[in-house]
Amino acid sequence: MPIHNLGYRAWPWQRTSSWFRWLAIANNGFRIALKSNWVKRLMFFAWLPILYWGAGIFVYERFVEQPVGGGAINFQVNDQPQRRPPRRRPPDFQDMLEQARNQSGGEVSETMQSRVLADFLRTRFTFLPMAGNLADRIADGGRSAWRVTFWTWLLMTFFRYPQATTVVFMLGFIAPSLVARDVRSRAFLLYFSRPIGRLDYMLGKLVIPAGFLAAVTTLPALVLYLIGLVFSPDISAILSTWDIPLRILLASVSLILPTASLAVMLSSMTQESRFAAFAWFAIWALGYGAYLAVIITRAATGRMELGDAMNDPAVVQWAPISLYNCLGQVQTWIFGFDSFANTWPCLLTLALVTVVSLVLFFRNISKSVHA
Amino acid sequence: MTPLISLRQVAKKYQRNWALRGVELDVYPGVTGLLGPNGAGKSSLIKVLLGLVKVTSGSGSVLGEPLGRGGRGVRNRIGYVPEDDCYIPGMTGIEVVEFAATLSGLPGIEALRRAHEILDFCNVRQERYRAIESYSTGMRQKIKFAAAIVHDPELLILDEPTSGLDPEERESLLNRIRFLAREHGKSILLSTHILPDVQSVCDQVVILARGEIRLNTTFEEINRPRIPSVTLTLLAENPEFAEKLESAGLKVERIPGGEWLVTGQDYTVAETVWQLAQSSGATLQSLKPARNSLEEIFLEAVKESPDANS
Repeated sequence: MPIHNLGYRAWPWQRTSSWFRWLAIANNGFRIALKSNWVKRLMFFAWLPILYWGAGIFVYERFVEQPVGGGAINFQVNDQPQRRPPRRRPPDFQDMLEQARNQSGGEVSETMQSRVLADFLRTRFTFLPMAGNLADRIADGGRSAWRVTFWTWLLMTFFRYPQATTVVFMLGFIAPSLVARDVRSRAFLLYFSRPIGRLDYMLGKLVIPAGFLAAVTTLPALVLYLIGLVFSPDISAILSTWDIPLRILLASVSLILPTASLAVMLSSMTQESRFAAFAWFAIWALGYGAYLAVIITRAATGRMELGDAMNDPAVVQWAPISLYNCLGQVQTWIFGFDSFANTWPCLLTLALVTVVSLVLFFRNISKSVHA
Repeated sequence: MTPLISLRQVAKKYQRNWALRGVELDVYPGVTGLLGPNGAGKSSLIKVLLGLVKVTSGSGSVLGEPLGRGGRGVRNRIGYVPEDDCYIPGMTGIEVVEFAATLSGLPGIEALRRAHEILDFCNVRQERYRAIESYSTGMRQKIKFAAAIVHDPELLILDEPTSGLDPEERESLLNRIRFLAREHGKSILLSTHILPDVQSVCDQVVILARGEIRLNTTFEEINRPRIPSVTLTLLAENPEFAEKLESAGLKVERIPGGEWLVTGQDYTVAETVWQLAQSSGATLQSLKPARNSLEEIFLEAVKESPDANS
């Protein structure tokens, strides 16, 4: 017997509240998931895009909001029209401003500046994702709305492109084994023979993927916002962008709830986590493939560019068939780049996915407990 | 004495099958053996006690909490060792026990301290730092037992706790059960197929078959001599002695171990045996009052009447 063996002793102390036992399940899940080097690597890669998007904010603040030196975009039109040598390149922003000034007879209002910038973005930045949406918003708002428009556009593209892809892979690594492992190893009895209810279990398990998703979407997005504040010239930036953190939180919730619920529900349907992983990736791939087919068909029948076909209302209405595009559409709406009328079918789809997933998850757990 | 578990006409039906039928049961503090063949309803009864399934009909209480309403409260006060191998892959032994402690409400660092203390008690040494998937069956049983007692429960429900253990480990576990019951006043419900385990640690025995309680008695009762029966052993075979016993109206049965079971009508059976042995020249090696064997009682209790299946 080891010298430190105290034998059996009673434990009469106060226990923690039974309302927070789900935290123990969540903590344990985080601990197990973080043992995987793949998850750590994925977390690292998930944070890399912040450099690129952070640079975007820096460039905007450095060259648009506080132009300094010759490299800056100059929004002030000189009294004397500049004489430039004839060029064969497309017109740059200054050319377009001069053209606008000439047309208006010398005065270029802020509204006009916005329209010129919007046209400039439409013609010269077609390679940027959703540049059309950005241009529309710039054209609609005054000069003072540029910052909030640009930041929200950056954050929306951040959510829609790198982070949405990361979410798929992150959940594909973490979620399939969360419940399947418990089903296979009959660990249910370890949980449910204790003061843990089915809802505690569900909450504990859902918080694990939700926590990882928040760590790769909400947190970096908030950091991006802070980067913007740091690079902005004065404190007034907070007043004009106060709603952005709320939009980030809303976008995170809209992303996390359906995806985490779906992933955990798939995990609860099988003992083999690989089947759950396969189903997870298949849902994303098939949905995306189907939506891509709709885009290509529209582009072919409407004789339009693929980029134009993507934003065509006839195509957008098909977004609910693809979880990826559905989420993207909802985030576009949350960040103010599309209307509710275009988005409600996607919102409804995500709500349905969440509710159906949670109901099935609850049913699967009940079945396992009663078996 | 107030029973810890009190069930009245409890029935549980799964789709078409009755797992429990009209169960009337009182379990008192101490160690109680729950015996029954496979499919007798032991696991269903345990799930009912843990509040994991709702009863179809009937009522009762466990540790003073009414059945069905106090599931969470009851499970706070119960430790359960399931029969099945249940563990969470990817965790070490100490992590499993610590996790069990936090699930039962022990706060963070205290859960870890207590887990170490209980693993010491269960004689799990440095293996506690190994992944649980690498454990032998015996080690997993120890971890399950440790996880069940880490929160200091009042009632321990052990489902086949000694299955898969070697004789030495089995004896150690039974000693721990005895120790917890006698030194710490824990009440224990031991569900098992292994009759010697029940005999060695239990005060009360409940036999369940086809969802019904067939027997609920104490070992004191079981161990009482079966009057008027004696068991005897002869030094040498003596057919004349057997004939004389039968002609005196006594029933003679040969039982395993070379013993004879002699049953009479009244308390004079021992005296009659002595006299007939003397008259027939038989040498008695032993003569003792016949006791009930748990095995016989069990077989008798679970025996189905010929029309049971009709």
